[in-house]
Amino acid sequence: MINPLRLIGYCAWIGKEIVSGSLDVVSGIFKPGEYGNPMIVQLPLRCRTDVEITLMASSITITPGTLVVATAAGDDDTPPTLFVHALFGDSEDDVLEGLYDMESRLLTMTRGEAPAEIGWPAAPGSPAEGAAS
Amino acid sequence: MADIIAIVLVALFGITGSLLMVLSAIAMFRSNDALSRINVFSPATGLGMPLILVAAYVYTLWQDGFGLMRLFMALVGFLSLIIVSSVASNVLSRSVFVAGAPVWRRTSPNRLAEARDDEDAGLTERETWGDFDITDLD
Amino acid sequence: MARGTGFTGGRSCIVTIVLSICIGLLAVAILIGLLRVLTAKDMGSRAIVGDLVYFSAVGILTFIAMLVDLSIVLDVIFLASMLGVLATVALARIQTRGHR
Repeated sequence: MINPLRLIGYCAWIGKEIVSGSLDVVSGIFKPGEYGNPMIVQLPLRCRTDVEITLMASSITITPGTLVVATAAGDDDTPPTLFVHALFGDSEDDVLEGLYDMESRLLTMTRGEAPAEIGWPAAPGSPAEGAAS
Repeated sequence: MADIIAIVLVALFGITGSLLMVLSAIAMFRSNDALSRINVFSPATGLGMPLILVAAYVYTLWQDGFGLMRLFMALVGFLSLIIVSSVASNVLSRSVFVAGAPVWRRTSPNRLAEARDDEDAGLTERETWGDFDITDLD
Repeated sequence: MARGTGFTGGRSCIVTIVLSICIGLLAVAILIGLLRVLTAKDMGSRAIVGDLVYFSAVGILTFIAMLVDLSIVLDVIFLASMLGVLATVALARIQTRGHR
């Protein structure tokens, strides 16, 4: 069962992320030139259960600046994958680092322990390999 | 004294929330495709509307005093604003993708149109969602 | 502190100004959104701008309820936040012509 203290801590962290993301969106308005720097990145998940994946997708979407566009179901060989539209990242690796940080916090909340490092068990040739390098 | 605090809080939360809605609308005006617009909509529902809700709750607290029913309404409204709008954005962005709406051509990298390994191919920079077949995902 | 003091009560001067500013800002948001609907080309932009107009209208209704001292201040935002998803989901289904 989820530890209520960890749940509150995670909600507070999401609140902080919402505020800082909103500041990004607002400050982007006053910069001249094109608005934002959109990109769509591929995020192989370490989440396994449906509840974890749903929570992860909702957390990504409610943070201003990131949006889940499509989901791909996982099976034994490939992890479930989210395609995330990011608007204010500097580079692809930068965006992926922030998303992995969020996922680590989420999994620490739901499982009660920190998840494995980024090198999750992945079969050869799965999309996870490219993102981990 | 309580009046001044209540007025200041209502003004602070209400005006900040309304200003966030306006700024979100301006950001929507400036962004270039439907996905970016859905993206910059989350400050409005994730922060602007909850602030307006807090202003309304402070106002009722000031006018009518504390009530369990009102606290319940405010809490449920707060949570459902955040969760429901997130789910709605997910549904809408997925349907935009499935319907093949155009994506701004400078969306780069676009991992739905090109895999990460094909970085050298370099010919998908200007691809739009219309070129991409949804059945490839299945 | 009493209810029903209306526009002439002691508290109402500053509060009326503040609430009017909020209503004006939300009205500006609706106007910008409607201009964007006029110039948008794809259906998805219109759907999301429709969502923005919906939430701005809910905010205006809340502030009007505070301005004229109705007791439905929280009810409005409570119901609208729970049912606001329906319009978005309907527009999403229209966009994909019934596919999920």
